[in-house]
Amino acid sequence: MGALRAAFSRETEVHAVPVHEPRGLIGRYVFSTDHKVIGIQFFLLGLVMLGFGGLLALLMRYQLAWPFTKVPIVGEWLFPGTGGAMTPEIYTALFTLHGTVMVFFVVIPLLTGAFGNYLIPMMIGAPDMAFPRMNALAFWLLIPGVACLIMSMTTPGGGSGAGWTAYPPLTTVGDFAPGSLSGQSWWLMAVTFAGVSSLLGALNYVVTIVKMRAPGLTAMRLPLTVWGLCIAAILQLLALPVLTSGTALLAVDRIFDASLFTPGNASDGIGGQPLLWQHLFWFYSHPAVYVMVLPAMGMVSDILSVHSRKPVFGYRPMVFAMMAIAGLGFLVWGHHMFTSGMDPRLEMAFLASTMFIAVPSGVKTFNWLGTLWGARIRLTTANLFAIGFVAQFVIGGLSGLWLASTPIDSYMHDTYTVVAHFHYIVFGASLFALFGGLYHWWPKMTGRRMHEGLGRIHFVGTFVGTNAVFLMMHQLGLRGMIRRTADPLIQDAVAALQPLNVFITWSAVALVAVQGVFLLNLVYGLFLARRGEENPWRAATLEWESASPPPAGNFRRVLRVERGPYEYSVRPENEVDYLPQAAPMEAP
Amino acid sequence: MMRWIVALMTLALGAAVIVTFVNPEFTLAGAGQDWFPTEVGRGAEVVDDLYDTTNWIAVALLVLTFVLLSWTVWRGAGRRDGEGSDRHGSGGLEVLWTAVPAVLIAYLTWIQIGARDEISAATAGDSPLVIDVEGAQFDWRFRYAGADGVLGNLDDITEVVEMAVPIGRNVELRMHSVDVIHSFYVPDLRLKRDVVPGTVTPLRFQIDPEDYAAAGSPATLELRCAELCGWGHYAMVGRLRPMEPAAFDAWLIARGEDKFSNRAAGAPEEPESDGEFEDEEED
Ligand SMILES: [Cu+2]
Ligand SMILES: [Cu+2]
Repeated sequence: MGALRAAFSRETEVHAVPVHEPRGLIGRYVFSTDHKVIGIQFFLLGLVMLGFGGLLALLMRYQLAWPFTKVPIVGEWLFPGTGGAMTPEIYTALFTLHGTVMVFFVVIPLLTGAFGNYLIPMMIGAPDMAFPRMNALAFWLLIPGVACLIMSMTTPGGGSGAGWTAYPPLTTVGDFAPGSLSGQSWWLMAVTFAGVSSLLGALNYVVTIVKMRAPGLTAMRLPLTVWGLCIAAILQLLALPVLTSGTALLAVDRIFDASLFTPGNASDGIGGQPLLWQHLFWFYSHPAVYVMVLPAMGMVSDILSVHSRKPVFGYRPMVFAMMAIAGLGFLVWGHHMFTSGMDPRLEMAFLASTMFIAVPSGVKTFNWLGTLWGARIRLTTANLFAIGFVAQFVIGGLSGLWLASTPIDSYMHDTYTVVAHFHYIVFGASLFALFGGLYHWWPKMTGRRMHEGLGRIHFVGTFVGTNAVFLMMHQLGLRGMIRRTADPLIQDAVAALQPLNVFITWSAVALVAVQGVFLLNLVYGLFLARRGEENPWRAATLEWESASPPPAGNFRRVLRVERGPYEYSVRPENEVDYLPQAAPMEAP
Repeated sequence: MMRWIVALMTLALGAAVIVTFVNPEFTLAGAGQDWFPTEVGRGAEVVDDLYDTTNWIAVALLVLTFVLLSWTVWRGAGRRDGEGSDRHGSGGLEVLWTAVPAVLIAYLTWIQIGARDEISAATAGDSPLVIDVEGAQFDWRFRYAGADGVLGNLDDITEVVEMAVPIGRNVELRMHSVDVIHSFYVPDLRLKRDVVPGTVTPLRFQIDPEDYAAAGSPATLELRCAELCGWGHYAMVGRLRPMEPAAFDAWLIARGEDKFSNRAAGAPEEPESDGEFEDEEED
């Protein structure tokens, strides 16, 4: 920590990195080492996987509304063996794939891979990442990862059916689940590829942010997006090795019958300890939640500030709150195991540490409200999504209060209340930040603006749709509907609420359909929109000092940073109401 | 126009969340029931009370944040260029909104820890009825001590799917699994505990006579597996059958006698499990 502090506190030296234009189409667009191209590659892969994961969710929703009936349109093509209806095996494989895809191949790669790659060098005034080739490798490792996932679906026995959490012994003993044959091994490899990819990316981000900032860009002048990405990268560096060793150990159990996590005979207690996997898995996967939300928090802070023409309220508390969330994030993994039968004393410690994460989360929320207070707000699409993020983050945070409380959690654990809670965070918050970020930085990446009218329709539809889908899931969970059930009708108490499940399914259909507007907007923004605005939002941070889209090497001159990132509305009498970070100091 | 839409949407969402969080005693269309299932466990009401207390704090925060959010957006979107503030922050406010939530959270943590103790104290006391619970893909098996009062020998009484339990008496489950992790979940008791292979997990509860009567004396309580345990997880359901203590004792003795008379008559031994997965689904 001391070294890190030292690295941050001094100014970095000026870099004059020779820029060599890559030759040929393939060199420039495929095997490029340019962070912007790699960032866009992450975007493409992430958005395709987001579509795939969304369609998986639709199939799941169909099953939950009308269990074991013929799926319309795609049923006969997807499930020819059963006349177009799903089987429980297929359903378990579907939700396993949905979770795996969304966590490891959508949210993490999009937030850290795509935005991290594109924005970090641009926002700190650097010509590229510290290790451009390693950066390219980080992206290309995801391709075999996706290939392994596809393999896992097509092997005999079908895809893994053990959930994205892969608890042994369901995952270690082939007899226990059809997908525990080779499907589970392919799944493990896919996750390992994704993990190594993130690890390389994280190392790169931290080194780049520490070593390559433009002169004058001290730590407390970094945009919050960079802070969020940096803290998320540090979390990944510390937590990912644990998950990766965990998956390696699980593979040892599966391939060599090592019995690390697989207990022997129930009565003699000999053999491995299934709870050990849960500890290793959640030691990574709880911080992973913050990997998915800290960059989003940073981006939302930037978007709110730029589009509301107001400095981020309480910049330093915002930074410290992110650090506190990350630090506490390493002490709370046990809250996923409150019903696992672990030691009650541990339970108490995890209860307290989890509850206290609410404090820095609250600090962030109030500072976002403070940012909006008294501001001259422009309701651009980017800003709308950022506002939506704040609303939904609050909901997801407050339902966390129930789940942190062991007595209530012993009722709600593994029910749909939990599903509602984490979807409010990863969908309602992270994905909203992602949409907001896309609308905001689109002009940077393409030189064109997406259509604001379409954007507003996209926002309203997505906001209403998200809440229509996820809000009532709280109720299903309160009623006792368990997660990962292929048939809610089997629970008498829940069967009475089946109209809610049908309603949620129709809402999900609408939510997916609304994304058609987004696709339309992407097409519009790529090909039809007018070119030529360099800085349409009049943003102050360094990435807008470059041309839009930026050339290789990013900046034509060495930037000298004179001030913090959020000097908006500081000169109301002027035509230009803000001070760019790199604008020279005016004579007094 | 957009400012009105955003402000009203935000307010509507806030209101909808409050309505859903506070678990209103609204009757659902057709169902005629509250969101929560009935509650019949001794100490289980603590969970519901804690849920309510947590929600009063959650609702206060929801009202505060959603009203502020929709107001600031509505007001701010009506401002013109040059009218915006350039305020960078406020030390006093930061202290306020760090300290007040910290106190609230400390209070909640405190009452949660108290509630944990209260729940375990509700079923404390010795000589509970011990039932051995075995989770297996995809059914529940129960074992009671026979006439000798000792579990784990030949005169044990075995049951599948349905577990008879005496009302008003402490029950201690000794749970274990023959294959993967399962989870013993009885919504009406507000109880859930994982059944982990390789370990025996104890779990205590008591069906409270007054709560049970107040809940309309349901003939059975739903038991289900809450931890993903394979393709049949969704159908791993069972039942608790609450019985008056005297009736329960008589039932246990009768079951014991059945067992020996069957064996003496050369009937096949009690099956460990009904084996047929489909059988359980039907009821
Ligand atoms: Cu967690
Ligand atoms: Cu089970």
